[in-house]
Amino acid sequence: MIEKRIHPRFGPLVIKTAFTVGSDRREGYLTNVSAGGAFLAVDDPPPLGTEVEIRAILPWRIGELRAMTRVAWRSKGGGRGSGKISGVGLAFEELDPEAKELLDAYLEKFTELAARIEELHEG
Amino acid sequence: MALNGRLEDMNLLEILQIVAFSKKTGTLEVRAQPASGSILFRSGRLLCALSSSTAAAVRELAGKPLDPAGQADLESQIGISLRELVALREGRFEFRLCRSLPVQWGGLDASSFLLADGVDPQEILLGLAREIDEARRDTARLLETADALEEVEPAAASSDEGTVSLTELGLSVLVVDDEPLVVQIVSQELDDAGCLVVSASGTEEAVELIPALLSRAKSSLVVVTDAGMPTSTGDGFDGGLELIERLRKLDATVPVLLMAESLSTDARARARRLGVQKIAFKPTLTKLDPEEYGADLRSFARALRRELSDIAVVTRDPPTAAPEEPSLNHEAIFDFLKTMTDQLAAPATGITRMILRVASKYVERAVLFLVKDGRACGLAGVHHGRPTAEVIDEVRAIAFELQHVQPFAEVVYSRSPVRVTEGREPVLAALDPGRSREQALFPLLHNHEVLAVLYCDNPTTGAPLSKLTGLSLFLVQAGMALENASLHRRLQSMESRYSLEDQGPLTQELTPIVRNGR
Repeated sequence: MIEKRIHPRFGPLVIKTAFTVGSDRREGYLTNVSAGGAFLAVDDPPPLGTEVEIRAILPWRIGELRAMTRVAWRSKGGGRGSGKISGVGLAFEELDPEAKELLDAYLEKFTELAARIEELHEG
Repeated sequence: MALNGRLEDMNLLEILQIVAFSKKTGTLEVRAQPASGSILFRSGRLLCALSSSTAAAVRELAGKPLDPAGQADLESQIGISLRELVALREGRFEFRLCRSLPVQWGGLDASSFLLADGVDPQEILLGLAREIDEARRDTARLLETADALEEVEPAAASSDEGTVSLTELGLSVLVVDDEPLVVQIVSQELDDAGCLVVSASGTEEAVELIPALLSRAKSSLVVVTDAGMPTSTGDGFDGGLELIERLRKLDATVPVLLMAESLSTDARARARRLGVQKIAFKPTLTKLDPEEYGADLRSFARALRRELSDIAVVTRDPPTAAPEEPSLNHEAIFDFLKTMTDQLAAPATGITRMILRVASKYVERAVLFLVKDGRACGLAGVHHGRPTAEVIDEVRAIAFELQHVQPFAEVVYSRSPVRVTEGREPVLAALDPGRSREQALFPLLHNHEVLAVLYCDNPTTGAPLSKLTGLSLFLVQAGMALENASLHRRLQSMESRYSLEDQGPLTQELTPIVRNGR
């Protein structure tokens, strides 16, 4: 299969996230983070096209990511055990330099850790 | 190169995610106290997990064909194992890569009982993350409300052994607040505790009720009133204090517990003159979120209920005030720390006070900040030579975005202590730096996340900070005690959720906990 993604996804990392839609402040979990966007797991996902401001403390002492995003697609989920999770696909809008630096640091660290598994010798 | 290391450096939730992402086949071994375990992956999907407490149950399942019921049992055991392993804070982990499934795993024939297709870890991880967050929110609520009760007059140290239930005391309680939700939740809690509750929605209504209550139940009456209500003339907002003044003209001895969102130094002095026994700070952070606010108020009401029995007992049998402890040498500090750590073994109410008490042995000023939603809010503090009430007033007025105060952000992101050395800007403009030359910040961790930050410095003498290893270790223990308290509350909630007729799920969920406790 030909990989069509511009940015590789880094799932299934789960990062707790506070997000704001208009004046409504809620909480969810980011997964599948990439340089282009992320999946926001949340019950009652916001509609397509909605602007969503996210704030998430990235693991490995990297810092707090703040970014404006837009809902690119929605998943209603399929209930427990279905493997389908309720939430929205978010596309990053303009990332300021600080946010971009944090995101790059996170992706780099994730790639490095995953590479260590790739390099393991089979026992 | 292998993927191995210490859980202190990387928590298991993160390790699980990395391994699942790699889509490899292999085993993730965890060796720690009090539990160890193993998780088996095939192409990144989770096939099975076992821990010290679930190994026996998984072995039992291994001997049977996996019908749908067996499959559900196995999924349940996997969930319990993961919860147990994810909660570990110290120990070692190692991921071993395999070309194909190991035939022997955990001392069992792996081919006979694994989940056929495995499960996508993402769903499990999300569930675990949600559970951990819920436990953390619950604990933050406990810190914010149960420990916000400040003693205005010295009261007897309470202990479980000496606690008298409210039902035994036969208390009549007048609850007064102009906020209907507070009246409703506090009244319900006290009613459940066996008190005879009468409520009023304002000063005038309460004043009208008091003579009848005094004539009926003078010796068992306690008044619980909000401070910030309209006065009877409508020209002020200290109606609670007006109510106490008018109560005192009728009776000087009725115990009073004052509820407040905040209280000025003048108002506090007035409350003290009027013989208020305790001030309880109401939750305010979640006021705009009805669901969260309701939960916070219920937690607040439970704390009131505990304190009320103390007030009633203390008032009827006045104690002698405990002498202030002299400053201690190193040997005495060691003994003191051991005593305080032993006290942490009990479920964690009063932990804020214990942390501040320990910190005050090391530094002149210590302030605890609750971390919530990217913000830090002052919770409580001590400062040598200043009245506690004044310090708490000052501290509770402080709230800021973490990202605006770099050292705090650093503690939260790194989950490690940070020391700010001489020559740098004061950490917090809101705290008078005095002669403080260096500051130390410590995280209070709960399930690997920072629940609160302890700020320490010496603003009076400007003395350099001493070695704070003991304080740092005590905070680690305090975090564990809070996690234990969270487990206790989970047990209580499970107890009320499952009826005696339906013991299946209860037994299933409790078994690993009981086994761990042995």
